[in-house]
Amino acid sequence: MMRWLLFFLLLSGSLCAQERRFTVSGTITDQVDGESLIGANVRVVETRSGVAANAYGYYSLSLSPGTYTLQFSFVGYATREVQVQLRENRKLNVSLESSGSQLDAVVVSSKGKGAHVTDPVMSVEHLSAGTIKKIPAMMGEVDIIKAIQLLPGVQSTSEGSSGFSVRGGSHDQNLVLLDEATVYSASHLMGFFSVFNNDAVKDVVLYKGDIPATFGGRLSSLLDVRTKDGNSRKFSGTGGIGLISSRLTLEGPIVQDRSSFLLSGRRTYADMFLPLANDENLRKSTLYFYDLNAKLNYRFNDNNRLYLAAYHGRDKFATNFAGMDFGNTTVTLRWNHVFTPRLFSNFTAIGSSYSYSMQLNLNAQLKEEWKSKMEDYGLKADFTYHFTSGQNLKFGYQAMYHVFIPGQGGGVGADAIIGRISFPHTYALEHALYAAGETSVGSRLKLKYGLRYSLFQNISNGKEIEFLENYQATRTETYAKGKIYHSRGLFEPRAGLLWMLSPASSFKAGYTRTVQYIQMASNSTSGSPLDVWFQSSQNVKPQLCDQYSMGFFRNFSADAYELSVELYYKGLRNVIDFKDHAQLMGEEKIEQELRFGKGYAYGMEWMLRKNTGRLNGWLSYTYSRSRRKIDRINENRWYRSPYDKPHSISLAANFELNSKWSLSANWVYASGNPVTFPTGRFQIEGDYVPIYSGRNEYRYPDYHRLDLSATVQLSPKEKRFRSELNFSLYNAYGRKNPWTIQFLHEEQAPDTMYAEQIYLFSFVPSVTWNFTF
Amino acid sequence: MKTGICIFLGCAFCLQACTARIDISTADAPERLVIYGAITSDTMRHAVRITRSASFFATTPPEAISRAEVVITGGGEEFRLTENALEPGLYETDAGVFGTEGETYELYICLDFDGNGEPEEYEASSFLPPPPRMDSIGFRRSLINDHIEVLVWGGLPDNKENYLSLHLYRNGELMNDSLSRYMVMDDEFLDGKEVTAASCFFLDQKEDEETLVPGDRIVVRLDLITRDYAEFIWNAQSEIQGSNPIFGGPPANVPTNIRARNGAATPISGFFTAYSGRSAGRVYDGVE
Repeated sequence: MMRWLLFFLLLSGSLCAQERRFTVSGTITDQVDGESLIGANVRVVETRSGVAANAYGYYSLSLSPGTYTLQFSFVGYATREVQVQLRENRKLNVSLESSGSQLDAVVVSSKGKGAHVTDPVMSVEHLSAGTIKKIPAMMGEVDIIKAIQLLPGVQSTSEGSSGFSVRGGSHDQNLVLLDEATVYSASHLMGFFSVFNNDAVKDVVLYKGDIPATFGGRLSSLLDVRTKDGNSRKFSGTGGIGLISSRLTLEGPIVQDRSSFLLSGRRTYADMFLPLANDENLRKSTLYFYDLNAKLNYRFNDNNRLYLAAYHGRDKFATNFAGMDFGNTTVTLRWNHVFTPRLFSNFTAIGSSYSYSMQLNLNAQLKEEWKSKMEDYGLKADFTYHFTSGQNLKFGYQAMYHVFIPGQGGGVGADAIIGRISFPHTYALEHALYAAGETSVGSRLKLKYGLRYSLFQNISNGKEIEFLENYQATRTETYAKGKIYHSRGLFEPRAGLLWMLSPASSFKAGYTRTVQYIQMASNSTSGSPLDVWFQSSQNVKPQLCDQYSMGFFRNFSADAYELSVELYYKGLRNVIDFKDHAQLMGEEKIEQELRFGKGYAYGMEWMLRKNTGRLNGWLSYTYSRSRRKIDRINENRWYRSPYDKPHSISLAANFELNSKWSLSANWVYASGNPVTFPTGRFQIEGDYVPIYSGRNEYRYPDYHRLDLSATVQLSPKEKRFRSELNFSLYNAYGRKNPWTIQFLHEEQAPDTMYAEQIYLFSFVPSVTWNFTF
Repeated sequence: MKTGICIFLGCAFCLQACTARIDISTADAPERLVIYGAITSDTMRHAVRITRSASFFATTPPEAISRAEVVITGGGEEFRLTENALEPGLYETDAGVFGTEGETYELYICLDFDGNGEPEEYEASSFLPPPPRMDSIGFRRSLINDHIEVLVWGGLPDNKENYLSLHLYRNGELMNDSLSRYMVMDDEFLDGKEVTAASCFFLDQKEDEETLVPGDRIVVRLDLITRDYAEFIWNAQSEIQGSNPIFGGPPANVPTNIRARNGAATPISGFFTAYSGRSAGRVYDGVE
């Protein structure tokens, strides 16, 4: 590892000029609310070099002594030029003014101008909260995950679901971070809504393959969601009242320009109407979810800033004899510290928890409860050293302690006939050491390189550990509680290059290895809130993915249009699937239900995006294949993964009709999900038992849907209190997309079967009143 | 707990979904030999049914396979089964035959499935587990609206694990009379081997098929079955019911314990099993 670090340092250092340099550094923020502008560009006009602000809005440029013109820009903001005389290190904090008051300045990208072409990172998608808000929403609930499902290479796992598949990967191969804390189950209401309240979100980045060395732990993607810091200039609020939920976000300064807060809440209230139901059971039922986001930040000085972010959300369902609740809690404490103008650091403490519980109360004998919980406690230290403009080295260390409680519960009360059960808790430590850099070689070539070393250590719970052969336990060992009994470490290299073909076009290529040590015990396509996760161990090898990608990127009309074409190939090892008829729910010995193999995925993504103007949005086409070969599944033959959808098209468009009205539409098309259909039957004890085709040999009918929305401003933009009405129509032409297909007997002819599709949504109209002040 | 989970999921997942018929076009699976039979500790005629599988969208009952040689051996005895003259494909022992608890029974079948004039041989075996104890049954109004619970008192053998199959009779007529309605569970959920007022059936009194009338004689039969047979029933029930994208895994063929001798390549489905059972009953006279 040390040799690699040395290599990076030499590579980065050797490319730096040895002459004396001074540094200009600072933060780039929004002039109105003081929010840092992630990814804002700083360009040195004289040298034609530049950098982008990091996730905290911090930038650093090292230049020879002299006078320079610095150009600060961000899509959707007026570019600002500042003359700097550099004879010593300088601190320069810059605020940019939003150009959002002009109709033709509507913005759908949240990255720096030109970054699409000039940033060596590829396979990455940025979405701003504003873009997401414009996308027609199901039941009026603006949803980040529904928005990213419209991006090329991203698929919904099933109709209406918040689960998503990236480039043919499983839904548990996506690392979902909220302010750096892992969100294990990013959905509400059985997956129909995501846990992210858009009003509290500042920035969303989806890495579909070229995951930075800073992050790891999942094979397919990283969804990095950052919440707003809170308006540091004035007290303000945002909210809305919809058909199924209401939400309110308050933010403002605590100490002017030094500290601010954000508080955001959302709750559904469908259950409030249940008492009006005729059915007595329904009247006694509970059905709602809520989210709470809170954030505090304090700037001690230009070199030190502290952030505390927290999220808590929960779903609750209950009838008079059964109940369930589940949800996530995350807490992140971050300390930004600038050691020197060239060395930026961030130290993070993370806590994350996901739990669910179920209750059943049929009678005193059948009174039961069942609980499951996962907890993560982590520490991170991330550093960025800026050598010269455009050349930096990121390095750091991360450690995460996992505590998984797969299940515990049983009968409640003295009369319960059911005993108490507690599945063994599992503990593990996941470490990572990484270094990554970017270097310009000449004016056209940029190199990106990185290495991550990850180490996963299983910690004994003091109970018997099984060792499996051929999926059966052959021996057991017992280790002292707290002892590390199994370790596995792997190198995860990253490499990439960017070749500027012209000032507005580039070619990019990349290679990324990712490793996944924890995975979900779910054999359904979209997952459920009751799924538990399990760890790599002496019996379960970590899953590996080697992804190769390349692409052509082109901007037109002063960055108003972006075109990209990307090709990728993913080779997968130690792929996990589950044996036929696996019992995963309430199963203690999950490892015996696993089967292992290999897989691959490849595809092409094409996207044309218009970032500015009255008409904006994107059109994308994806060709994608994904296959697996797993021991003892499908008679050991290759089969389509559940996420193999060859063709998909997404069109998202927004049109600002005038200062009062805006219209939005999106249309999606995708090949049908692979499915295993019955091809024969036999009769046992009066029932027909199906005989099936090969795994995923058939497909559901193709999926397509059109959503529409219209927003009318109810008050002038110059008013402090502004409101708007949003009308949306989900599935506007009422396409009956099958959620699943079932096979039933004809009532009059019990020997005759027929197929029936279940579709969840026909037309779903909704109206939401939104306000800001 | 799995029962609880299932009940809950059923309730939680009552989505206001819509349905529509859809045409599905699939190739036909190759024909399979289907054998299903059992020997029990009861003194009676024991039966094995032999049929041929069909296309999934076939419109007629399964085709019976006649003229097979069917033999069950075990406990030092051999029972030759003869084809029922009225029901082709149904092979029965003589009346008055019973299996002995603790013995392993072998099924041997010889027939010409592919019609090439050369018969193939098939075999299977099953252990006949010791019986449970059935003391009595009772009734109680359920917390679930309009439901009556049928309660069972009894005991299970002191095995490490037991697999139970429960059948409910009303006036001599089997109420859970098809494979998908079989009630099969393991004893993992029980706190010990005693069964005390365990709710086994929940009868919806708004459903004609399940309504109890005072005077009805209700009998519960509790069978001890093998783990392999329990898994066969669970897997078959799961495939009959189908799955959904949230909770269900991918469908798969239900494994069988029937093997072809001499490497014959005939695809086979079905199961041969042995089990022991006991019954208890009482007259239903209403619940408070």
